[in-house]
Amino acid sequence: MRLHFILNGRYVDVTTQPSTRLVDLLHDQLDIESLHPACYGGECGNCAIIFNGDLVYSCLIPAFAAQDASIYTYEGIVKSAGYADIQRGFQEENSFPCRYCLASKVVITQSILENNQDPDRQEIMEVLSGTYCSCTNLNKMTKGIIKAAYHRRRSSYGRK
Amino acid sequence: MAESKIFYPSSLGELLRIYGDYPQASLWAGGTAIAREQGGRHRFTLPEIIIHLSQVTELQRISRTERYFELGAGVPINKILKVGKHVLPKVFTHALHHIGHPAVRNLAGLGGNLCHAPRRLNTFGPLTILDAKVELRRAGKSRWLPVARLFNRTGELQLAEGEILSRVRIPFESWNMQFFQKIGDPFLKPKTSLTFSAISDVRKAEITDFRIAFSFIGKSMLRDRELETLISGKRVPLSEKVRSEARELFRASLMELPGEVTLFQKQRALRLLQWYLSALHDPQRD
Repeated sequence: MRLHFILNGRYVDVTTQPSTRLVDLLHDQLDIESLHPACYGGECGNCAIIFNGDLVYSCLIPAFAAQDASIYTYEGIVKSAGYADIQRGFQEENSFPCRYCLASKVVITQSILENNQDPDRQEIMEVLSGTYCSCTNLNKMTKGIIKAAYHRRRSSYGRK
Repeated sequence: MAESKIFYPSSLGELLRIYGDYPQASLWAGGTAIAREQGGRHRFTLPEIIIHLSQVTELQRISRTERYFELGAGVPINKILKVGKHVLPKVFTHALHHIGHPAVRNLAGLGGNLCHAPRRLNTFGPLTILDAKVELRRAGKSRWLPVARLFNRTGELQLAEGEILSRVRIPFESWNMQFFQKIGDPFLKPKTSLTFSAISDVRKAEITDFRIAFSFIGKSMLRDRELETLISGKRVPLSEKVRSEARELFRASLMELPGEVTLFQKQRALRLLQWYLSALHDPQRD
C-alpha cells in the first residue's frame, strides 16, 4: 500500500506492506538509523518516536496506522532549536546515555518537555520505566531531564 | 497472502456505513492488545479487512455534565488521565494508570480495553461496579447498555452485527473509599494475574454502599452481590463474626468459578478481600 505522512517535518510518500512494523519501515526504508528494532513488543523503548505529538514505541504500530500521521524521531529533534536545552541538561547533570540508547532518551526527553515544561520526578521516572537500557543511573537521567526542562523554560522566556 | 483492505473513516457516520457493508471487518484503534499478542514477530498478522478508527472525531470526544462524564471509545488512556485525573473516580483512574507504561497508554484506547474479548482487562471491573454504561451504535440505531452486560455468562461480547462501542458514560457518585489493585500481567502470566476493584461509602461509621469485583484469567469475572448485601449496612470496623461470614460466602463463590481460574488466583483474591474488609473504616473520623 501507498502511505504518506510527515517525517521530521518533511512530507514522505512510501510504498510498503500494511503489516510492516513502523519501526522497520522507518529504519529500513527511510534510513532512520536512530531506531533500533529489538524487542518488537513495546518493552525496551529503543524504537521510541513522537507520533502525532505523543511518545509511542514504533514497534507496536503497523505501517498502515501511520497514514497522514506526524512523526518525529531523534534525527528531527537534533535539528530543532530545543535540542540545545536537552544537551545542556544532560551535560550539566553528567547524564550520558550510551550510543545505543541516546536517541531514545532524547526522544523521551523531548516528549516529556512538549507536554510539561516543569515535570516532576515521579512523572519522569514513570516514563523512563518503559526503557531497558541501564547504562545511565536512573537518578542522574531524571536529574538530566529536570535540568533540560529548566533550560527549556528559560528559553521560552527568552533567557539564555 | 493478499494485502489487507483498510478503511480510514473520518466520521462516525462514515464508519457505521462501512461497518454495515463489512460487518466482518476488524476495528483498529490503538491496536496495543493485538501488538502485545503478536509481540516478537517481525510483521503483524493482520485481519483481511480493517477499519482504522483514529480519524473518527466523534470517538475522540470527552464531555462532562453535572451527573456524568462521557468518554469517546477512541480516547487514548493518557488523555483520559490528563483531562479527568482529578474528576473521575479514583478506582477507574488507578485502573487506567496500570495499563502498561506511558508510551503504551498514548496508543491504547478505552474501547479496546473494554471490548477485548479474550480477557477482561483493567477497566472492566471498575466500570462495572461504578454502574457505568456504554453506548452501542450502528447505522440508524443506538442503545445504552450497562458495562456489566457487555459480555454474557460465557464471555461473549454482546455487540450486534455492525454495532460499535462509541461512548462510555461514568456517573458521578460519591464514594469515600476506592481501591484498585492489579497483580501480574494478564498477557504474560494469565494463571497468576488478577485485578481487584472496590468502592465503598462509609458515613458516620456505617457502610452505606459496598461493591467489589475481581477479574481473573480469560473471561472470568466475579462480582458477589450476596457478599455486597451482607456488608452494606454494617458498621466499621467490621466485627470478626461479619468478616468470617464474608470469607465463607466469598470462598463459596470462588469455588463456583470455572476451572480455568487457578487455586493460586482464588487464594490471592480471598486474601485481598480479607485485607480490604479489615481496612474498611470511616474516613471522616480520621
